[in-house]
Amino acid sequence: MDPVLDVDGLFVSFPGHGRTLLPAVEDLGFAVRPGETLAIVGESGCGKSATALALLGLLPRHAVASARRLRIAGTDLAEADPQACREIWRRHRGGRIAMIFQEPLTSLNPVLTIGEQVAEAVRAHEAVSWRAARGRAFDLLRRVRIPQAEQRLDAYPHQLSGGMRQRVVIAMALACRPAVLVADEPTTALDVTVQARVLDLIAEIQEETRTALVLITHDLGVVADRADRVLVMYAGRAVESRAASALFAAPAHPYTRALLAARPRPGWTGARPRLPEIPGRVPGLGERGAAGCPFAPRCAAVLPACRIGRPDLIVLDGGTAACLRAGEFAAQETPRAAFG
Amino acid sequence: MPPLAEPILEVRDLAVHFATPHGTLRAVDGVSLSLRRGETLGLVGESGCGKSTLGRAILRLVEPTAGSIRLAGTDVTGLGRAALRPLRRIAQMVFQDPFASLDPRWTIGRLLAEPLVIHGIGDRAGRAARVRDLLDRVGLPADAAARYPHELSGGQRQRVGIARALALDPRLIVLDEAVSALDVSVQAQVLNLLDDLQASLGLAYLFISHDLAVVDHVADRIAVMLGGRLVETGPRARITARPLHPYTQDLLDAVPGRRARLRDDGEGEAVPGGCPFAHRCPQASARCRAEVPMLRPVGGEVSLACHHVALAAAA
Amino acid sequence: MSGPADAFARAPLLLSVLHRPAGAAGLAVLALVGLAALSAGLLSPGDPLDMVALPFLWPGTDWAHPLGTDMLGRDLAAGLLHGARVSLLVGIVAAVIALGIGVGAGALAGFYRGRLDAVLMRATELFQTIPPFLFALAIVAVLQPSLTTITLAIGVTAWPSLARIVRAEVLALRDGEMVQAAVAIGASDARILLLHVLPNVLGPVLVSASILVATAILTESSLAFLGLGDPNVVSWGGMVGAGREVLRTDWYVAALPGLAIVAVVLGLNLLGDALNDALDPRRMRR
Repeated sequence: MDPVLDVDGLFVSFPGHGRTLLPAVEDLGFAVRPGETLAIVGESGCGKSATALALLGLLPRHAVASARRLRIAGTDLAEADPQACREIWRRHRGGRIAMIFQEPLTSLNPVLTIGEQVAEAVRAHEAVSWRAARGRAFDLLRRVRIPQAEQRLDAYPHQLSGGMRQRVVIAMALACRPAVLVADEPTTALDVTVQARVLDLIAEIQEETRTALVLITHDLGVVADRADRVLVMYAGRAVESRAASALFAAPAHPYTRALLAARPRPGWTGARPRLPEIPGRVPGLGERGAAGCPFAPRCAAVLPACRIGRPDLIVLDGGTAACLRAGEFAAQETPRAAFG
Repeated sequence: MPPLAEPILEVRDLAVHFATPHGTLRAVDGVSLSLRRGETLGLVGESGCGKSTLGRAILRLVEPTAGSIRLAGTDVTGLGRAALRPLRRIAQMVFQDPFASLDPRWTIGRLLAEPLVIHGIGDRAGRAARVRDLLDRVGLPADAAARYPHELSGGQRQRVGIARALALDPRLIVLDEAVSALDVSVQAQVLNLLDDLQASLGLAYLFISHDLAVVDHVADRIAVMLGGRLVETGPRARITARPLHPYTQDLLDAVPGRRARLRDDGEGEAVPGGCPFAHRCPQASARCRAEVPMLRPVGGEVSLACHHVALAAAA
Repeated sequence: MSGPADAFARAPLLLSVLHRPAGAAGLAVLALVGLAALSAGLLSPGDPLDMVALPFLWPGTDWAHPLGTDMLGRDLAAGLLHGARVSLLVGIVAAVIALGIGVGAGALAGFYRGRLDAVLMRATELFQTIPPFLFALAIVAVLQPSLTTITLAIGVTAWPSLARIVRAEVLALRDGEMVQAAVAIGASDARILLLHVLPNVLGPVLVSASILVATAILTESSLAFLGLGDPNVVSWGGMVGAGREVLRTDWYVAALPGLAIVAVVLGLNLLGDALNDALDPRRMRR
């Protein structure tokens, strides 16, 4: 099946001091098929949120973005001129591609009822009466399993819990049956038990509607549970892009390996294990010009060659990784067997 | 370091109630716990369960409504601000967001020296030396003293928060979601740092977090809190290997990376006067809605607040 | 998206204000007025209330009196220079009084909340129900107009809005982790309030202060215009009031001091705007 979202050579930069441009995303490419879940993982500053905003055409005005290919549901925005792009995005957003943000309160209007907002989302893309839209809103709220949906139609956002609010946002995103759903840390602000249930709900709806999901998260645990494919980002670049099963069985990039190892896992015995640290920190936007692999200064497996040129993408079992030693690592078992 | 017998903290039947426009909010409702020197108690629960309020009440940052708090044998429950000051040297706190807890207009050096100034410790040179020592202990370079909080990364700021808590040489530190806002790799660094500090200084930690995986990593014992009450307490390995309370089971199943699917629990309101989990519990009976279960020992150093103890313990 | 780490970095306040056109213009006007006030004794020694020439000398007709004279033959230039002293003095001292009361009441109310807050805020509301100008007018009328009573009257009527601003800011900080962290290390209330809380509400206070000075100058002028100024000193408002009667024939007598009032008030407002922008973290210079 053809990918419904196909991105190649995506660059995003933000203006720095003077006339410099600071690269936030460099040469990123990925594709998602209907019904598939792609997780984009990385720590703060890796460029994952800038990527999400770029997909929706929601980058701030001062940002500079370009792509070789940005095909959403059959339309390639990279070929359109900026004016046409804005128009396509305006029509696409909510229709072909929709986004769920981290904090549901910021995407909901505090002075409108839940019913009004969901109905408005329906009417934004379909010429139906208010009455019919309200009916659809009720169906959608039931669909995202909001209990007592009838009453909740007339509730205001502040009267709902965080988990319920996020369900409303999902209902709004689903209102127009988007082909691609981009979820930027959709459950980070929620309690763990609520988080699990909201993710279950998204997965279930996805199964029914064959929506392609781009799940942006910092949490590799969430990825292990939910993703079909994983794109690990570091300092604005893809360092590893593979099928989830292959990645978790034998991560090929040292950064992926370090991230997996750094997360505490329940159920240790004996003396408290020391968590493997990644020394140093993610380079800031202005510190990224250096030749060589961006992870080299923090990498435990660094070779002299790593500091000379950017490592090419190496094709491996289930995908690619940008590391000279990727083949070697991909053949090894994980230092600490994957999650689960 | 093996936990020593001497309790550094003893909390008895602590309650913190707030008056709200909708009636009394029982943020903490009859909690008892104790903590020995060099031990870590992990306090885990969802947002709004009262874990943060409990941590703050222990340091008397919020006023307890009832119950008692003993720090190193001294009852601090009724003490005034001035009488409390010497006891600040026993118990300290690290906050979730160091950006909010560190005055943005002060340099790191001045922030770290402030506790020493307040408690009249050392002269100017002595305090400067102590600041250098504190920075070194938490793995920050000495020149960080001249910087402002906004000039540091999130992980470095949290190290400053920890250094400030260490300044008075406390024996107990309450860590309120101290690593929750940090990236995974930075979180690992800070958790390791906390481990090292505990080993070298014999600190006791009350580690408050919503994240059972992190709590399981740091804690010797775990207390699970829900609706202002403790519902299960016990040795760490026992709690995460064999959770008895249905809520603890939910928390464990919800840890990302476990591929567990949770029951849909809808979203009702907790029944006043009943078990705080009754409205979400698959096993809830009429008794659960009518009577609050008390925390009782069920063997193996585990205590449980559930009317279905026998059932749960046998399962 | 995490922005660059220096998003919070701030340039020194004065520089940041000067970088804004409004700030530079405001400061320039105020510097000029300040200079006039300082050099009044030097440029025009003697009492500006003395009659020194023929009355109704138009500006530019006699270079000994470049801005002309009024109906009593008093030198207008000398009046403007000495009037600047009075305006600035009254404006600044009254603003300081208002700042003292407003910041004090607002900070205590916000920090201690409860009963003290209720009492202080009721008092604030009481003051706010009376238009400040009428209130000041009444005080001056009862106490006899003099520089001291005028300044006091303006000062004690201008603080309520400031108290509310400070209270709101302090309330927001009061429950924050910064204050909790300070309590946890054993800091006293005075220490927390003076060293941590108040410095962090300085921004809005500075902005209000510049507006307060402008308002005080306007109030003083209005009082003087109505004849409730200090009769022993020259003031811009008083000059406008005196010129009122000859407005049709010799309008410059009222217009020149009026222009001075407009300039200084505009300067202060521009400065306030620039301060507001400079202190707003969202618009902070990168």
